[in-house]
Amino acid sequence: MKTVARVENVSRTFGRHGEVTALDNVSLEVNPGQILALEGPSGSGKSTLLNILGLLDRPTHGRYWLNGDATDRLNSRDRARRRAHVLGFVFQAFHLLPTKNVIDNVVVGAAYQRLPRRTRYQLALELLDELGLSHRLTAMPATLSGGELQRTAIARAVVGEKRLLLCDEPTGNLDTSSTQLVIAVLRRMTDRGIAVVVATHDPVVSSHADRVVRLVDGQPSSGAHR
Amino acid sequence: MKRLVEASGEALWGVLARPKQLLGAGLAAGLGIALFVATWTVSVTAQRQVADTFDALRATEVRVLGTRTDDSTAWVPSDYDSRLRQLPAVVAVEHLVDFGEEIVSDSSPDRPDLGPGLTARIWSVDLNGPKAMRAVVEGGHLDDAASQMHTRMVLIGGRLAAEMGIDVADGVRAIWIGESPFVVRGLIRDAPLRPELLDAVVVLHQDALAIGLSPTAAELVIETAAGGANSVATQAPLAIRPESPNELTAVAPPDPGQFRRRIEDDTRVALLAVSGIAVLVGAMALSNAIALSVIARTPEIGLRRALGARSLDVFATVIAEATIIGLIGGIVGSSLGIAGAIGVAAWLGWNPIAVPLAPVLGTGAGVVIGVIAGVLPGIRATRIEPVAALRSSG
Repeated sequence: MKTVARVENVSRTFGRHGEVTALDNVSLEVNPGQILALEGPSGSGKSTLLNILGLLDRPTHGRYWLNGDATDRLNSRDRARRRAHVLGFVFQAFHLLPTKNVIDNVVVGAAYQRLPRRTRYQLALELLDELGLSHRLTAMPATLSGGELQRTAIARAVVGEKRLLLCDEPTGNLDTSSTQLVIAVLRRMTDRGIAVVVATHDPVVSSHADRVVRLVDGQPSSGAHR
Repeated sequence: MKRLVEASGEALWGVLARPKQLLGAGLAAGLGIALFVATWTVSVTAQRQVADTFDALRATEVRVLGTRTDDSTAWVPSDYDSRLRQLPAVVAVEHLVDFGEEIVSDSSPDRPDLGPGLTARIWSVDLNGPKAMRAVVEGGHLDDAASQMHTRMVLIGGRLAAEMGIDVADGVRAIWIGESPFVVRGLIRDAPLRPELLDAVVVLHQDALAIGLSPTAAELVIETAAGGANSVATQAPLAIRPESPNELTAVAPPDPGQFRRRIEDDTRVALLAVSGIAVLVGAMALSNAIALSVIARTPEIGLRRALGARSLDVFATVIAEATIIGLIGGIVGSSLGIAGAIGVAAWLGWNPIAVPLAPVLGTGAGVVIGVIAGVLPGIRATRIEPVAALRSSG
C-alpha cells in the first residue's frame, strides 16, 4: 500500500530568528484508507502540521513527500495543482460560501481541477447522494443543520480524485449526533481509499481513528494503532 | 480562454451576490463616464452652435475692391446691382464709398461759439442703403421718402450720435458736415459686419459729391445666401468687369472650417482634461470599492486558494469582477451622460448633436477603468495567505 503522505524530521518555527517552535522534529506516515487523529492541547502544533500536510505552509526543517513526490522543491503553481487534485480540507467553521447552494458549494471544490462543468456537477451529485444530502441540493447554507453543513464541506473537500483529507476540528461546532454522522462520513471516505488526518480535541473522534498521534509542544508524545 | 470564461463566470456570480456593492461601485465609475460622455456631447453641440452662429454672420458676406491705385473709386459700373444679381446666391448689394474724415457738428458753422464739432468718417451709399451689411437702423433709411423731402439726409452711427448728444427721440435734428447741413434720418444702432459704421456718418452718393467731398475708396459689399459666398467671390469680378476681372479683388469670408477646427482644437483640449479627471476619479472610486470587496472576501479567497486556486486564478477573478462593474458603469454612465447633454442643450436652447462614438467609447472607457481599477486589488488578493484568511474567519 503506497503511503499518501510522509513527513520526516519536520520542524516549523516562527519569528525572524525562529523564536517560536510550533513543530519540532516530527516524523509520521499517512496511509490510504486510514484515519489518523492528531490530538493535543491548543498550540501543540496540530494545525501547523495540517497546514504543512496541506501544502499551505512549508516546514522550516525536514522533508515532506506527498503521493511519493518530495514537496520541498515544488513551486507555488505545483503546490496549488496538488491542493486541487490530491488534497481536501475540512474546517471547524465549515467555510461554505453563503451565497451558493449546496451543490454549487460542492462544485467549487472541483473548480480548479480543470474538469468539464458537466463532470463536476455529476461528481458532486453522486457524492451528495452518497452522503445523504440529495434532498438538499438547492438549499442555502443558512438553512442547513450543523451536520449538513459539515457533510457538505466534506463533499466539497473530496470531490474528484482526492487522496488526502485534512480536517481541522471538524466536529468542534457539532452536537453529539452530528458528530457521529460526520465520523461515519469520514469512515466512508476511507472506504474509498482516501487517507484522513483529523486534528481534534474530541475524544470521540480519536476513538474512531485507526491511529492517534498526540502532540505536545510540537513534538509527538505517543502513537497508537487500532 | 477556458479559465478566463470560468473567472468571468465566478466574477459575475460575485457581483450578483453583492448588488449593493455593484450599485455603489458601478455608480462611482458611471459618474465619471457620464461626465466624459456629457462633456463630449455638449462640446460637439457647442462647436456646431458657435460655428453656425459664425457662419450666419460671416459666411454670407463678400467684399469686392479695386486693385488699381489710379482707379480706386470709379471702377464700379452704374449697373453693378443688376450685374451682380444675375449671380445665384446674391441677396443684396451695397455700393459703399469712403470719403475720408470730415468735421461733423450739431451746430451751424456760423455759431462757432456752440462747439468745434467732431471728426468723423463719411461713407456714402446708394438709395435705400445701407441694405447689405445687416446694419440695424433706428428711425428711417436713406430711402425714396427721404429723397423726396428735398433735404439732404444722413444716418449717424450710434456711438457718434451718443457723443454728439443726438437721439431719434429728439425729433428732427440737423448736423453739419463741414458747412453743409443735413437732417438726421436715423441712427445706426448695430453693424455687426462693419462696426466702424457706429462711429461714422452715412450719406447718399450724390449728396456727398454735391457738397464737394472727394471719394478715397469704393467697394461693393455683397450679401449672399448661406453657403454661396465662395462661389460669388469667384464670379463677382467677372460679372462687374468682364474685360479685366483681375483689376478687382473679391474677399471671401474666412473659411468656416478653419474656425470650426480651431474651436474643435480648443474644446478637445478641455474635453481631454475633463475626461482625464473623470477617468481618474472613476478608476480611484472603483479601485477603492474593489479593494473593499477583496477585504470582505478574504476568507473566500483563502478558501479558494486552499481548494487549488493559483494566484493567477484569484487575480483573474478580481480583474473580471472589476471589469464587469466597469462595463455596467460604462453603460449606465453613457446613458446618464447623453441624457445630461440633452438636458443641457435643451436648457440653452441648442439643438443637441448626437455623437454615436461617445457612448461606445464611454462603455469602452468603463471596461478600461475596470481593468485598471482591478489591478492593485487583484495583486493584493494574490498575496492573501490561505491559512491566515481561514483562521481569521474561523
